[in-house]
Amino acid sequence: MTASPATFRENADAALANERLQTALAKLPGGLVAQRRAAVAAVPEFETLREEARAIRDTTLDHLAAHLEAFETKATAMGSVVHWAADATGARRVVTDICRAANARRIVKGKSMVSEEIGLNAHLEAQGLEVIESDLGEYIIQKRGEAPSHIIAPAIHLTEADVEADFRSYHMHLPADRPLPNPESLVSEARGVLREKFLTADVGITGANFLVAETGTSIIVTNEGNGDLSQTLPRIHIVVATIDKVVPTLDEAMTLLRVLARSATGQDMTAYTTFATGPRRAADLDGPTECHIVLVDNGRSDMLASAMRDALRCIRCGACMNHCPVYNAIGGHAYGWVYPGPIGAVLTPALLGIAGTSHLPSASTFCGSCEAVCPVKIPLVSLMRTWRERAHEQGTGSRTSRALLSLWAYAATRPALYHLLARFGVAFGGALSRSKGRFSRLPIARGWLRDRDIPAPQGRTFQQLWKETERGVPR
Amino acid sequence: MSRDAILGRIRAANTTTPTTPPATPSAPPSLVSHGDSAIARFRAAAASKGMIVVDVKGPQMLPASVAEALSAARIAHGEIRLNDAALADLPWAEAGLTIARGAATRQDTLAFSRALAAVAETGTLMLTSGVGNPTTLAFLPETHLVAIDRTSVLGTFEDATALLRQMYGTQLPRSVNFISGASRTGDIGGRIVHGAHGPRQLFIFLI
Repeated sequence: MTASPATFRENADAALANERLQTALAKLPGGLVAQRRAAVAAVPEFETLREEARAIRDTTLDHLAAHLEAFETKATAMGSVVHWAADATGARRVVTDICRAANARRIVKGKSMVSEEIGLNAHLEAQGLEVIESDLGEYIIQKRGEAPSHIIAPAIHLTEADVEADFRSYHMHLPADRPLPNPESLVSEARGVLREKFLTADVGITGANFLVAETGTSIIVTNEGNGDLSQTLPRIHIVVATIDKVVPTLDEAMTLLRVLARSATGQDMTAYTTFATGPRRAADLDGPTECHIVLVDNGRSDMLASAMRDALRCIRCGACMNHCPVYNAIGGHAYGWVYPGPIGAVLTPALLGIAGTSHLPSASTFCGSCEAVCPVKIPLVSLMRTWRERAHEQGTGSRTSRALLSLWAYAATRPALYHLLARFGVAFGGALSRSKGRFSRLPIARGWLRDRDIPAPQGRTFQQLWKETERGVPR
Repeated sequence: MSRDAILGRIRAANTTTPTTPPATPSAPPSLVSHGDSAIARFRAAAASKGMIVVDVKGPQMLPASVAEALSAARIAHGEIRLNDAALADLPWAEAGLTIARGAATRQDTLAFSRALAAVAETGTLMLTSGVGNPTTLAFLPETHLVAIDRTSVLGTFEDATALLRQMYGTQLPRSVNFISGASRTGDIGGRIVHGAHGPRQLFIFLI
């Protein structure tokens, strides 16, 4: 990926002009939106569940240190080795050291966003290890050298034809003239190729949707079963998870699972929800002989102390991006980093700093769809607004927009002046565009008006209308 | 080193958060069911996820039911991998089937597991790993067969966690697998395809 959050405007322009991407985008999110709506409608108490989920996440964060210590104690007692990593460098080092100590060569991975965040694959490959993503979407984009464009559907930006072309060029050991007429045949081919990797891998790396303090368990939620093969077949299992993933008990995990899949794909449960606890037991015939859990901070404890604390409630369902008009128009890569969509617009500045990422929270109409569907009620709009304020305070953003904002702020805090300007604007603007009733060109908003017109002001100002209504004379 | 620094930062961030923990969450009423209604709900939910539910009068009838179900689905009667002692003792040969003991291998096409419980709420099977139930049985072969007693069909996930606590305390088996259908993916062209990595078909034998 060459795009970065700093070049968001250029990324977005390129995405809008990319016909292939637009074809792929047009097909998919509508389905996820409709599926979520149906799944939510089937549970009349869904609002109560959202409120419970929010409360579980909040109170867990309030006592996070105690829950992490409890998790560490229990996981250790169950035979796992718990590691702590303050940042991406530390996390990569821990994983590398485990692989080295085990003389590992081949690593299979289940889908994990935190491993994308810490740049784990590139680092392990630089150490001479073979790393294979086994989630089908991740496998496809790994081969392309791309980043995921959606947190639960990483290859959502690609069409079936793209994948067929890719498979023909990657799987050179298969006959060149083999038929690959449909998704079934492509899935079947990938299954065969990846099955061999699973059976010969030394290490399996997965993320965790949740960590349960009560039992020292890591939970993964998947549909393909790749995460399960990754944590069952290789002799070493490494769980990489951020510190915010912990929940106190199994029951709290269940409530969160009830809102997770319904919000993500509209399923009431994904095909596989797996609770993994420690390495294989004495009598077991399969399972890893070593289990490591790497608890990664990488900015979370700072977020906990910041105005972005509520964003730590996120359970990574992807509903906010599925419902976002901006994400739907430009896809995930334009956001330039690991987490796209509204949650990305909040998380990316929190994890990378607002300098260089200020376009992301600005790329929102504040329509509020994301907040309306978030299963843990993260106030995404107000968090994005906070980032806009920070960006303004720190002097990022274009000179024109900063100057205009300052002018507006000057007027808006002086009611008499504002009223005068508004009256002038209504009278003058109305006169200027009398013939059409709208503007299609204005000197300071050329870009904004390129694809749309703005209605010309007419009648009276808001303040005039307000006064009349106050006097009981609604017109 | 990192540990103490991380925990220290968390504690510093949490000095002003005196909240009361939420009440233990429970399943909303619309998801709760008991007894016969739980079985009906489980059956409907499992079927809606593409799983095939077969009623079996008693354990001794299981091999014949398996043979019949495989034939109906046009699945070859290959060797069935299983390691549950009670399942292994059933009259497989009489039904024209062969079994092999152990964990799943790469050649296996059929595997048989026993579910500890099922959850009616979503039509989900709950399998626990152990010597009789190697986890690979549920993921390597293309066809997965699961036996479950009617009396083990529970209403909600809270009933399932209560059962886990009753049986294991807080020392869970290495793997507790909640399975809600065959392996699937929507990663190519957005269309759902079964058998991504795990089984293409899943049969439930309700005894």
